[in-house]
Amino acid sequence: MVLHGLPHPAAPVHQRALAEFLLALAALLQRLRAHPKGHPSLEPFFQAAGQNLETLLVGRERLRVEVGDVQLLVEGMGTNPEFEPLRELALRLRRSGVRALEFRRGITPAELLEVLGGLVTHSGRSSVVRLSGPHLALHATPRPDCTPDAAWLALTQAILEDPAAQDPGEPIELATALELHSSDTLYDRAVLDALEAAARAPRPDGALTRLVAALPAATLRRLLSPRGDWETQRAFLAAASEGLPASLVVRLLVTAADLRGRPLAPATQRLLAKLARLASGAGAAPRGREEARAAIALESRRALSDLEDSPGLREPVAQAIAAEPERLLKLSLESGMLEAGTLVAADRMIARRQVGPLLTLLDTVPREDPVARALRARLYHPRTVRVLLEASPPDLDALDRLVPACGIEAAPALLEALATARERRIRLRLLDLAARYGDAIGPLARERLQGMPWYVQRNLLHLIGRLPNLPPGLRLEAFLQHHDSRVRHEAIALMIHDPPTRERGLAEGIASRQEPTVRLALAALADDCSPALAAQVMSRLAEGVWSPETRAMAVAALAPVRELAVLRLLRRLVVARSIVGLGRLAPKSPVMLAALRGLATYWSQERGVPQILAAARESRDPEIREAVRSSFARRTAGTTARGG
Amino acid sequence: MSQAVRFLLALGRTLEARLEQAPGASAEREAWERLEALVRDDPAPRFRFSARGVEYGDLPLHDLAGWEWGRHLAAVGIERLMATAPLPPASLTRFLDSVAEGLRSGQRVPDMVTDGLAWGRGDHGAVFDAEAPPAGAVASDPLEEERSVVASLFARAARGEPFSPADPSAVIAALQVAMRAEGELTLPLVRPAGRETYQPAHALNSAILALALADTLQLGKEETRQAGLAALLHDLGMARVPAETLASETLSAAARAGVRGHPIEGARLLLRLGEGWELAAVAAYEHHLRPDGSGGYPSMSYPREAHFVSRMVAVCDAFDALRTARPDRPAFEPEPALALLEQGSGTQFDPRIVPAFGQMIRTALDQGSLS
Repeated sequence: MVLHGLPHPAAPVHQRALAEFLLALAALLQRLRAHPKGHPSLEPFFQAAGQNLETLLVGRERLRVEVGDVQLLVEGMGTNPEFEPLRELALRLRRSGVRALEFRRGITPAELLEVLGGLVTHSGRSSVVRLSGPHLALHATPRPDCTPDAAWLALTQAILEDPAAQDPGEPIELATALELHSSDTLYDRAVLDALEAAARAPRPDGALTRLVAALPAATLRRLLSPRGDWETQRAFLAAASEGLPASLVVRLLVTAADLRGRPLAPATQRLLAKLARLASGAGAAPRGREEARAAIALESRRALSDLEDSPGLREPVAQAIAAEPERLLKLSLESGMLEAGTLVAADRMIARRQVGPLLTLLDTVPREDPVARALRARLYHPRTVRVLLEASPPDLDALDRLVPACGIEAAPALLEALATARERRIRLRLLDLAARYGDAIGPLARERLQGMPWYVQRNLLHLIGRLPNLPPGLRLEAFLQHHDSRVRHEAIALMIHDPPTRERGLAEGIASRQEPTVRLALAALADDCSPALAAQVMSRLAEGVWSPETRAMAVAALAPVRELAVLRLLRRLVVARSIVGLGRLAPKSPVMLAALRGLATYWSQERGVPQILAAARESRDPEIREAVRSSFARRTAGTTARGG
Repeated sequence: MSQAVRFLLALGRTLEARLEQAPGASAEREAWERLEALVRDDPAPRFRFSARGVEYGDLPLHDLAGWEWGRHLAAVGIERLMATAPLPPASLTRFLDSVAEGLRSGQRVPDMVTDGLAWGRGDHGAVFDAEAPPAGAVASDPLEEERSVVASLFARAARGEPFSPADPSAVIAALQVAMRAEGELTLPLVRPAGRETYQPAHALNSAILALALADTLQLGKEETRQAGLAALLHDLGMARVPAETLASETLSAAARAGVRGHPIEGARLLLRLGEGWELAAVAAYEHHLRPDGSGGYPSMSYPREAHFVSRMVAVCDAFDALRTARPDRPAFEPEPALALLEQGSGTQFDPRIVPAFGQMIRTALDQGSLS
């Protein structure tokens, strides 16, 4: 069974990191145009680009950035052509003759600087391919105005390593020079690039055919070696399949397949040779020649596709007739088949975000079934969580079923999604999901707090607030000075619920200029308000800036505190004095009602209070009567005043 | 490096040892092993030697450009060498003896056909009688290469070995070319030469019929190709059924169960190849199911209709099977075969496909393009 041989698909590109990387790249190239490579002001730019790149290359071997006319493309997704910095980057790269940049794992900021520095100062006389580094390959744009003669001259210059050469070389002479050149990855890549251009714009005299036909097997093997740059080789082979005689195409293909350890069966080689003969006109009607020629070109492309390392690059089966992956899984489950294709089908369903149906299908099979077990192992993977989270909107129901099964390994993906979730409904569901991990997710959330945008920090702090315990090492005080009040709010909420920081959190909350935060603190104070905090609340109350609702909360929070000042405050809020000093109930308001409840509940025996309460009981306003009655009931049920 | 090159290099070392009268047993054993490996991949390897170089089949072996033994062999009259299985080691020894003798004496080596090996001059027709198709086969087989690839695919499947995706893909491409070679669509069906060659011939015929049917149904290019591939490989599981079972005229219950397991076995082999073979695997699995999934085999735990391509393959498969003689019945002519399909239309076969198939076959018969 080919279970281990089948790679998981490369991790999807993290969109935010990608955007930040492309912007850093644009900034770096701009800086490089203004400053020489060693200039200290470049340091932060290439460090930033390098760090972003490192993030992007986690879980993948390479990242290819294609350069369009006005946009950049990564894995088929284009940047916004209207977004000026990236549009400008695309235009400049295009102008420099760069068709694509391919970053590979292991790239260092120094290599990045070296290659990009070379690109900025590149004269344009030689191919940009030669500027490539071991982990950053530059692919050249075929010039749209490239005539067969110009392409041949460029090929001559590349083979002879003489950018100034003005005389087109003879095919045999060039083949010999190529043969005699020692193995050099950059040289070979530049030559293949030029060969590709020459195959796309072939000279009518068949010069390219003569050149390629004259290349000895060893030279071909060197050019197509797996140690070389596959992208360049593939581009050349694809161009050759259109521009060279079929017999040479077959020769190239057989060599490339052989070198990659996937040789074509001898019988297949003979079959291709037969097609090549037909294509060249041997014993075939014109229509047959045409068909054979097209078949060779098509089969070459297919064979090239089969040589790709990444299965994702293979030509997809036409959707209209494709075998539905669910059907494949059903037949695999019912016949106990567990092969590479079974797992591919599961991956397809996951990639198509059909996780719900897949889970439902697996629910029909006993847990111990080996095929189902393998499929579950495939499914219960952080990658699946990521796929679901990247849907718009995320498939929250499937996530509900999946996340518990995936274990803590899926938490990073969930945190990433939570951090950037803009829609409240989604954020709440994600919070629910993440909170299910309990304390285990705390340290992960804490680690992500530093240096994140405010909304990420807000969401992460909110999540931490829903965990049973604060993660060790979390320093909330740092967030009290945060520029965004929503982050401060979450930090204060956490401090209030943590005994060692509770008093400080309450004080910060009361002092806040944001009423939601004040109310948060006041709500917490209702349980336990120290005299010091009571003084702070009264002081803020006196400022008169709070809304009636907040003031009512403050009064309710203060009421249990056994301080004379509190009693006075409550009386003042309930009783309105006439100018001759006679008291009567103040006009009804939320604050008045809160104070009345406070008196009834905590101060009913104090001097003057019974009279006030009696007057309230006699009031014609049912709300006022109710405030006293409910407070009395609460008191008699056992509630007693606390504090001094 | 290909098996062919490995064999020739080992052959060169063996001849060198013989000429120097050095101990050459290990070199000869290596040459034999290389040749045996080559014949496993390519049932009928053919070489041409000349002063210009070495050709393997129709392909020049560029890896052996300048290989001196090619010139030496040609010089003593060994311009062609071909092998066929089964190949006893004694045949190689005899060849080596003859060549060594010729090289020593400078005399031309006589043409020779031994068990599994033939050598001699290119212009000497008789020596290559072994290349002639076995009795019963069509005298000139325009699909010889295609048949050879398919035979190699089935041989690999029988051994449980994977094959390159390029192999069946090239066959389909070549069939499409062959079917359009004269402009109009033709159905160049092949006849099996015997029981051993039935499966490759049936696979090719099913593929030809499916490609033509897809054309009749006006499927797109890629869909047509996929249907052809699915039909070509639909019986791949039969390669795993023991030869004695297939040869037997009466099957025991166990043997019958083994034969009825071929859809699952075929699907398994194809799914083992990974991405790109899903549709072929589905058709291999479902081609004995009724279109609505109500009968046939294998039995299903998840009731469902057969895939459209599986239904196409089922019709093509049945037609070609009817056209082949069996121990208990002669081969059906096209019309009676079609009549049987039409009887099963709506139950055993998809009623939307059978009329299209019938129309396609009758048109081909009218035009004389059904061979």
